[in-house]
Amino acid sequence: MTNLVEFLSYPFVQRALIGGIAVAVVAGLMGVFTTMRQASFFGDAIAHSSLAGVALGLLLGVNPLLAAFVYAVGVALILPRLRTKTGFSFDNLLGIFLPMSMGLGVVLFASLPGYQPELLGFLFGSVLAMSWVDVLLLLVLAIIIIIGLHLWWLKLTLVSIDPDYAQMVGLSTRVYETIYHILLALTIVAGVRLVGIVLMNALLIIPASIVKLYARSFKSLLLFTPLIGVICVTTGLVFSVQTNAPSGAMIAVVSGGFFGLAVIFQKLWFLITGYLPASTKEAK
Amino acid sequence: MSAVKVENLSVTYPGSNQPVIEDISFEIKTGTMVVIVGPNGSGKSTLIKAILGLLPYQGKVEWFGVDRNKKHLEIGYVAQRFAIDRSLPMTIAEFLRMALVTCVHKTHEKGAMIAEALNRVGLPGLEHRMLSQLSGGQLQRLLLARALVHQPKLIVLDEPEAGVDAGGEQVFYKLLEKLVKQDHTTIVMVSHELGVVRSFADMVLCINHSMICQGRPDQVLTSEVFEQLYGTKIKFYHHHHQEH
Repeated sequence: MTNLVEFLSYPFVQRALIGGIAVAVVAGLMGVFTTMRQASFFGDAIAHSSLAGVALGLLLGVNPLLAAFVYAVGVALILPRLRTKTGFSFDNLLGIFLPMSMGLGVVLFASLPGYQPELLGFLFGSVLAMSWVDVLLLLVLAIIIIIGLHLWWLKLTLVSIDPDYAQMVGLSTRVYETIYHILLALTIVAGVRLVGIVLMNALLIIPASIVKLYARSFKSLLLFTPLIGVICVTTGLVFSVQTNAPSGAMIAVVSGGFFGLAVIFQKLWFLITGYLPASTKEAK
Repeated sequence: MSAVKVENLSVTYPGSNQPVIEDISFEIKTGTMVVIVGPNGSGKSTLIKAILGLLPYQGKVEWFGVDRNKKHLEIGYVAQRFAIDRSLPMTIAEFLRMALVTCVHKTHEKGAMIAEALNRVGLPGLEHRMLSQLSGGQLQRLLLARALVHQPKLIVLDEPEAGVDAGGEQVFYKLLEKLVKQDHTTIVMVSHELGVVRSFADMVLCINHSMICQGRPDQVLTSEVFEQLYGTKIKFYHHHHQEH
């Protein structure tokens, strides 16, 4: 208990926890939509491509996170259009865009004068080095994303799972696709400080994947995913401080561990009771 | 008044100079069931999507005498394949509430609309059942319930029998027949089931990139037409449809 109080009394831990919880909540919520669209690889591509935005920002003397946001939104909006125009598969385009943007980011970083210690921080997160200004920026981003989702979650859901029907009831799929991509880019930028570009997908995908195993309604999925995200992040941060391991990597490892436990528990439940706790139970 | 009037409709996909469907015209009377038949890749789904306004087209499409852009809520639509992720935890009520997202009704009114639609398709009281717990036939009826939830005057279905067993199919077509006969709903459906076409359709449209023929099933469903459509002869045995 004394250890915990002492742990929480460090300002860097306080900043990490507040920022981490904010990112976990919004990444969890956006993860529900990303997994629903079966677009995990897309989230990964957007996250990776934002490294080029960060490097461009540093090169041009613009706030790197703002530059990453603009770059990520640009990629998120251009990729679906490229697919329509060129006829290439989405998978193929993502496979080309992801390494190219990441490579571009590293090349731009290399062209910056002097040693760039920030590169590792952007790649794998540097949550324990966050300032109060960073935390404030994170909270503002989180509030914007939560307001956006509160306003449009039902429409975003319909456009995500059945775009033709959404069009039939008078929704503009282009408008809501754009909103989703902007919110996703904002979430990724918010998460860069916490887990980094490489590990961002862990926070987007794993909490929603855990809750999907047990949830019995879409509302419960939306409610419990951020909660599980918060548990993953706080546990990861505690382990990270105690073991002196990089925080982003530890959060990704802990989240993956929780997913493994959730699957094992689900299988045990099936062995004991003969049916699965939630959604994968099929009609007889 | 006609429910749907299509004049000189053509659709060409971007990047291609070959139209998928060309110069198609027809008129559908209100309160009838019309079935579109044709081989795979003949442009049936393209035709459906164009008349629903989901694809750009050349020509003219009118719903109930008005340009289709102003009528979207009066049309129900059941797509060919609804590829929902079955592991997505979502209840039937949540699924149907999404279809009412642009309606201004109060929450309890929406609840009543959902209950009514589920009643009509024979799934009463299943609001809290999860999508993953539905059989193929029940899922198809749920999609019909979604099409009915706005109480539309016209329902468009694209091969609704896909993934449904024979028993489920019969229940489904009886439901459609009831909608036409009792509620005077107009139904436009793409189907490969020739038995269904003969038993339930008031009119048949034969499509193979252009209109091959149109008319009553007994006029249209001939060996000659099927040779023209599918490139093979089919022999028809006529027997009386038994009413239950």
